[in-house]
Amino acid sequence: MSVKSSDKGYILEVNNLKTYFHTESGQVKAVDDVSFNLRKGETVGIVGESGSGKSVTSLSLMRLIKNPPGKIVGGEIIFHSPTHGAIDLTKLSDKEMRKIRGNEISMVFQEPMSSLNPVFTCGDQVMETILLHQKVNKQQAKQITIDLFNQVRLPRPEAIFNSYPHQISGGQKQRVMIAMALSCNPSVLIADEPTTALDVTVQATILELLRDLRDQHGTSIVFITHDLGVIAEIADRVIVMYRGKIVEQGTVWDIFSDPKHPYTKGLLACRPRLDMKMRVLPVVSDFMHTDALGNMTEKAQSPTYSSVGEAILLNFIDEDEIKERQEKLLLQPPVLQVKNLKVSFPISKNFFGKVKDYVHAVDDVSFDVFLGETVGLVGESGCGKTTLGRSILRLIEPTSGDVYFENRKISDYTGESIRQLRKELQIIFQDPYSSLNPRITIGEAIMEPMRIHKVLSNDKARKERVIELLETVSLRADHFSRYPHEFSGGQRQRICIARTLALNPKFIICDESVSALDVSVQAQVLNLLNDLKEKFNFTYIFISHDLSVVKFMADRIIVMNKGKIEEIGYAEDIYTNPKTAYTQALVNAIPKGDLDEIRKIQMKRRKFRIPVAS
Amino acid sequence: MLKFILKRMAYGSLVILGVLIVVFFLFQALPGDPVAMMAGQRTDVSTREAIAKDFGLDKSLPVQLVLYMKDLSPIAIYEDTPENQAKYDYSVLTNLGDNVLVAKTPYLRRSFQTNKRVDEIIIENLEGTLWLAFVAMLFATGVGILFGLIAALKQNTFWDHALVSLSVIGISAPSFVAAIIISIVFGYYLADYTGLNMTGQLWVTDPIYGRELHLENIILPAFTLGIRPLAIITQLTRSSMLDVLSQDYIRTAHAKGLNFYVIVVKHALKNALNPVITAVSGWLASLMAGAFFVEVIFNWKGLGWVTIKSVETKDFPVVMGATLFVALIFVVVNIIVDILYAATDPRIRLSD
Repeated sequence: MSVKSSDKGYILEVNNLKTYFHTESGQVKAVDDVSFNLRKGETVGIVGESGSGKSVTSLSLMRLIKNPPGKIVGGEIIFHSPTHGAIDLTKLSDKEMRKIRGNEISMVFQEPMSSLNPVFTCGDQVMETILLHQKVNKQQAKQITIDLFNQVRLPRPEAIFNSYPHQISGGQKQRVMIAMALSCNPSVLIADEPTTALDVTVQATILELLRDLRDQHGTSIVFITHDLGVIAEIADRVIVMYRGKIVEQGTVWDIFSDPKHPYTKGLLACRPRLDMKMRVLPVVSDFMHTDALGNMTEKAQSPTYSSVGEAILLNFIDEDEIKERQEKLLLQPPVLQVKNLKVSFPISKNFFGKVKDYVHAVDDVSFDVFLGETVGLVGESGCGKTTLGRSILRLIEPTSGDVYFENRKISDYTGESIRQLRKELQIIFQDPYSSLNPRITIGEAIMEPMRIHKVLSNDKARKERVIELLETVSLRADHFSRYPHEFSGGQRQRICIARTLALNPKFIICDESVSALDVSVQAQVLNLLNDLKEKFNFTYIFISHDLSVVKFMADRIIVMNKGKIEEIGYAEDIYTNPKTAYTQALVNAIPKGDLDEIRKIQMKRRKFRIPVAS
Repeated sequence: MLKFILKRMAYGSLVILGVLIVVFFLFQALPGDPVAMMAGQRTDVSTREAIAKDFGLDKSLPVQLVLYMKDLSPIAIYEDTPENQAKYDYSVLTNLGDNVLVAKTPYLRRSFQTNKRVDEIIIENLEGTLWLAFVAMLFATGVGILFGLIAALKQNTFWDHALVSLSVIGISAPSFVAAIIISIVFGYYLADYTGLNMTGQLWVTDPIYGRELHLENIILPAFTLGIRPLAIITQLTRSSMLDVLSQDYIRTAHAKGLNFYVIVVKHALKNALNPVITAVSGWLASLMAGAFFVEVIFNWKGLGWVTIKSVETKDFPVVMGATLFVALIFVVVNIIVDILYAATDPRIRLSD
């Protein structure tokens, strides 16, 4: 299926690609008339939020769209294969396509945890690809695999060769996936959110690995992510997608320094920044108006902000103001005191069920939280931050140590009175999709805790209060009798917040409450949380793995590592002047996405790459 | 690993003890008098009392239970007499005056009816049951996995719907109904075509040729016995296969460029079989435990058959012995399955 080659410099040309899904509720245009090119040795980043069609684009390139319901209905994908010449991937037979997959175009997926087959060893899975596409025997394939494991910097490659996926860490799994993808020296590597599921320090090492391997082998990469910071670290060119369409494409420098499309502007402005404290996060709707048909128009008349720079300038809080607030907070009495808290879980038991060994999820942690303060709790997965949050509420019983809430030990609350405690202390969970019962209307869901705690005297008064709460979180009164599935992720998280507010709590623990949300939605929810704090004088513990989000929210930050407090201090100090090596590493690992960083990365990249005139 | 097995065996013995106690008391609730069954209708009172005394049936129930357990126990204390030695076939550990502490194999007593040793009766009938269970399970597993695979790969097509509907019938048909229908249809009405008998055993003693193996007699009972496991295995394989096929690692396998059949057989099936193994083993245990209805209807001499016959005659030692043996099979098969489980899925560690 050879086609005429149009430009020698291209490895991949996507012209008017259309991938539609046929669902019961009608046709969904997941990728709608998308055209872009990939040059040899170039890295193109595709950025967009959930539902933008970026993943479907990447799966279309590999022809991995499940049919039914999905189908490539139009357009062409011209691949300039080194062995087959220029071919249109959309017209290849399944058999021909299988020779391309894993061999000339390969893919790294988002979830390293589930993308490896649990019942085969890592070595076997990488070897399988090599044996499939190359004429080598088993012994040679094993040698190639171990060499690859060395290249992707896996420790003890021979041991990992014989390990099953569950025996190695998430970052190591992703390295195995990368080794698998690179095993046949592909001309194009498609990386679909390869670092999203990983901790930020691991993400930094994986990005570095991908950069090095790309520079060594001259592989062309299509890098898909929702995170603009990551894009800035790796891509040469950026494609911004929104609702199945490309809204803007250009070099990284152009996109970051001079975004043209209002959506790109909004996306750039709404990321919480590490270098300055913002009062309110700008949101996409400050820049763009979307009408009912999905047409986007820039808000020209009286926009809140006209550019990204203006959005930031109008918003940041200066140092004096921060200092003033810090001093004011210290004068408040501590509302919550945690003293030598320990939470341990048994990991092995002896014959008679007696516990032999514990893992200390929270290991001797002490801190105070003052009235009206927001304390941020950051750390990587497994550091014990969630366990700590839950043990404060006694959703997990602490093993030892005390927690005082308003000078009363929470372990003194028993039976009925613990309910009283939970009325005062509320939690907002991570996943807005699973923390609402799908069979209960949202009005009922918000009313339920009010009934249990006998807030207000009758249901009529409660219903009025619920409607008031819905309006507080920018939802409408007529949402009362709707079911959770009718709402988007951000709306659901706002419903969860309304449910929390229903009990008039004094203290709210937000456990990764915005982690599952898109950046633009995240900005809205964070702004809402801050507004509510001003209004009701809440005290927050804000738990997150994302230091930039925590820095935006928190007055003070606690950095946790392996169950212990690594460092505790004012948000600005943690960022500008980290005291421990761990905090330092954590801060450095965060993709900055500012122009300075981009220039540095681009300079380094130029050494390896023939500059591309754009 | 060893700790795991020891622990499971400890739990298993508790299960067997429970079975022992429950069956013992349930048996007492059955109508009929075992002594009358043994001695016939017209025996005088003194003969009956002598028989009752001989078998220990004159003692109170708790004492009878304790004595039975003493017979079962591998270590016990007895009077050192030649009769006891012959009865229990023990080896003496130490002398305790008149009595001796002995080690022995569990003594399951003798049948009230035939005076045969119960362990011999069990061994004799075990072969039939094992063959039946094994063939039924082989049939059910092989065909069931195949059907499940077809249904999963052809999801929402005619084949899928047909197989799922059939399996629903298979699950809901009671085995005694199925047994009678199959026996009559294939063993009687269609006997000329199938050449099968309505009933029959594995070994048939012919007056002229002596003991003969009749393999064809196993077909109908094994088929009947296999229907339900077959239906369940079909559904389980289907749903677990559908689940596995939507996993990320299957997408990875596609992205490698593997062809469809390698993906299904190598990558998907191995993952999809775990729930199937559990089901198969559970059924295997219960099939070995005697398929009572099927054995009785097809007159197939096995553990189930002998148990039912003994219940009819209130032959306590045989019923008790067979039941305990079945419980033992259950426990052992389940331990083996757990070990097998760990062998197919490297994520499972046998720690607790």
